[in-house]
Amino acid sequence: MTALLRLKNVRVQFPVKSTMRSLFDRTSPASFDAVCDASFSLQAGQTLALVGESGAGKSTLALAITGLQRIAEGSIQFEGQEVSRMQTSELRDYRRAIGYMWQNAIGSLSPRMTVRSLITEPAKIHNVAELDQREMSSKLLDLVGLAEEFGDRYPHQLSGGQARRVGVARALALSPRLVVADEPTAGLDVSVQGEILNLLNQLQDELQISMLVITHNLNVVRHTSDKIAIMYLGRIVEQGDTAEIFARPRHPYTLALLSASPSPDPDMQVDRIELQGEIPSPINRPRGCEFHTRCPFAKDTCAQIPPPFEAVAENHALSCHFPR
Amino acid sequence: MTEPLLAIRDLSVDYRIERGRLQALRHVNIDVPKGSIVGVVGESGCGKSTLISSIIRLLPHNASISNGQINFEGANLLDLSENEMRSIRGRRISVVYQDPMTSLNPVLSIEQQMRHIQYRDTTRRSAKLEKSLAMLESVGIADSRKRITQFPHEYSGGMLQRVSIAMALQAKPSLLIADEPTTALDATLEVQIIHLLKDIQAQFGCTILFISHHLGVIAELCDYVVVMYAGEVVEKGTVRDVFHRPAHPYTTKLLQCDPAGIQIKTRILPVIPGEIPDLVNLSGGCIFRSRCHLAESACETEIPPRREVAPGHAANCHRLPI
Amino acid sequence: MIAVLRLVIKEPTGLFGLVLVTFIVCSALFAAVLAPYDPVALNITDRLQSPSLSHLLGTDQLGRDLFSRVLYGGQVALGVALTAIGIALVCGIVLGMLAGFGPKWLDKAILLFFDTIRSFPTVMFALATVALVGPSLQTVIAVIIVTTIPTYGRVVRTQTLSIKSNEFIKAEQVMGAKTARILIMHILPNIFGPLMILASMDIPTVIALEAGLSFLGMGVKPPTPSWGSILNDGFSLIRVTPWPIIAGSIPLILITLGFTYLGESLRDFVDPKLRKNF
Repeated sequence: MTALLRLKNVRVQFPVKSTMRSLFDRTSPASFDAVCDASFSLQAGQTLALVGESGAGKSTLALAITGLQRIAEGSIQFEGQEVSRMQTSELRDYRRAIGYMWQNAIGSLSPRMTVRSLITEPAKIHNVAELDQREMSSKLLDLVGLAEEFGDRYPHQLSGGQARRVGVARALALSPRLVVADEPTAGLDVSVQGEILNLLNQLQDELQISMLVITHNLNVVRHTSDKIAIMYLGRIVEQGDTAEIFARPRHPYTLALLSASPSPDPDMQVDRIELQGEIPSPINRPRGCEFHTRCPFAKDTCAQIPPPFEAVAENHALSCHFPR
Repeated sequence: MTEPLLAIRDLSVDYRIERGRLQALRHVNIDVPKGSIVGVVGESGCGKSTLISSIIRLLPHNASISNGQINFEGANLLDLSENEMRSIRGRRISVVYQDPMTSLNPVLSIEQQMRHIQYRDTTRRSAKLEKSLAMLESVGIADSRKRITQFPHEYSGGMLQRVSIAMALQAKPSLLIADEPTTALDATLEVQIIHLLKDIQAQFGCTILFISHHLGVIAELCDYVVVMYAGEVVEKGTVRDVFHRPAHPYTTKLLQCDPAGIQIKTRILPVIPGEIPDLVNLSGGCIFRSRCHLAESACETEIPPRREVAPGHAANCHRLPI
Repeated sequence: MIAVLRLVIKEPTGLFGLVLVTFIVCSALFAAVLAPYDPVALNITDRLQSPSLSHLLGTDQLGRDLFSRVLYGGQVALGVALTAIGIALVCGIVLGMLAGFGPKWLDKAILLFFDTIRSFPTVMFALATVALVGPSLQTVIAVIIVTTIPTYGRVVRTQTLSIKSNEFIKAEQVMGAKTARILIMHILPNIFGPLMILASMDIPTVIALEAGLSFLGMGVKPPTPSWGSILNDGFSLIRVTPWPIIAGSIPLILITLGFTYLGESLRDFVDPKLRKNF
């Protein structure tokens, strides 16, 4: 069975923006890796979560998957077809097959269009005339649980949760095979977060879509995803089945992320792994294991030799010299 | 019991908007005992920001305080003149804001900004610098002599939030208001800032009013918690009481919704259905009734009174025993 | 559109501006009906008269009715301003959006073009062109178009750049939208408001420029009536009678005031803080 989406050693580079550097300091690199050696595959009907903090390269990687961000090395294959080698018309067809939910729910909706025209926009772009636009928008609104009257509203008249639902409706408009959800719960209140996650779960169960969820919050993906890839500084450091990762997290960074989210129980004694310092800049990556500067368990080896990315179980791999 | 450092009594704040009178805060009572950390938790639209602006009296011009008192160190802040208020802001009460990237001036170095806020002191420039350096050290900024000459954009978010905490503490205020200070930060840095605030509280003995929507953070950091919903205090008490034995249906549901509390994988997560009511045309009755699964006829008509469920633990709900 | 008008009318200055502009536009449009005399008909016997019931603003040195000339002059002034600004706006939008959305080299090339034009002082440029090609209405319009394109182009470019970085544009790209669609459907509506304001505030400047050129004898050729040429005639007659000067300047003052007030209240409308109340 071929995977719906397969990434192999993907590297995304950004130029270092500084005129001073190019004038005076010619030794430092002209570009840095925002995403480094990312490999994973997503089977049809499955959900994979990319988890990491800001600067981990999750959103960059997602944009690379859509073809909007050029990749420097590696390959991204969608149904066996290489994204970077697609012609303009192929790319348009490919983008028809993916639905994208943006992190900034309101900001990703064109401000002078009504909800109705926003959610039928994909159909207009791809000249899909099979459905009456009004009928289509009503169907979509119903699908994401919005009342018909929302169709005539403008983005600034929506609450965060409603804008998310519009985003879901737009992503699903042309029955995509892959949905990319970038921080689907960002900026939402706790009581509404569940609604969006439930909606995604329900739609996936009903429509059998594959999903790529990007988030910084491990708790969000515990209930939605089948697989998790944890990213740090543009690199996937641990990857595996969700249940396996939550039951037996091995990489110190995963452990730190898991324990970083305090539980609403004042008496809970957490055996917390607190990280020192801040995320290093991807321009000056640490030598050896890139996590050693913040790792509470780092030994001398970690500062010297980069750990290989190895499988520790059937569906679980990580890069650490001294896994927990 | 000794007099609390900050006692908000029956505070009501309205905004005049085109559609009418938006009642952003209604009869809010909050006590902040000296030396404690009090958390205010609530979702968007609950009136957290209005509460802070009322305490420091920097409300927008279309807002008016229609009722109540804010007693702080023996005076009602609402009676003070603008000049008196200015001498309290930054010196007796200071605020740490949500996003340090926008709450610090991008064109001034940290040294300049830290010197400027000491303008009331008559000490020499070098003494001010030493004092700033000491503050930075105490919030965990290593190599402070070099770092202080840098500008905000040269800091990372977590470091910058440390700087703004240092600046807030510089005048040794008796009350520190922290307005979602960890929301803009990554989870691993959030933990660091919580610990910093705990250390600071132990070290300086100041009182902290901590505003957040994050239940876990409040549970970890605070002694007392005030739960707000749509402009009202619906429940308050010690963190242990409120989080272990929530009395108000809103608190109960909010705790259930927190994804950090759900350990077993489920495809259907708990939610609070419905939306926050429109605060312009309030019709009386319990403010939470439209989203409450326990609502009964009394909730439609009567505003629930405050009821003590245990000493120091109170909630506003009709269903509680009198 | 109705909402815009309602807000404009709400403010006294906006209402004043709107009334003035409507008044002047109507009087120019219906000049043929309103004007009591032919604006170019000579009547030497009635020359240099002061205002009276038969000649509301008096007559000039050739006995032409000044009131009729002012009305017809409005046609010229508004005609020049609207054509010139309209064409400049279209060119500015196209060039500005190409610069803002296109590849970097194109941006640089277009900016260089804009800066080159803007480095000439407008009046000097106009005088030089007129000296080369000779005075005519078309020359005036052409000069105004060329010199105002960079103004609009730069505004459009900056606005395009800032809108381009919004997520909703990226969202369109990921949905597979073509660049033309993004530009026309998503960028243009968002920059149109500020542009219209800029244009409405430019109209008096352009009218003044046309009047200035005509005053110098380098614009509209006689005997076509133009506010500038009325002023020019009055200038040489100032020791004899003040009326031609007054007749030429009143409409200039009114139209400048009108469009400026209208533009300012429109600008308030685009201010997002004020717009929120809708």
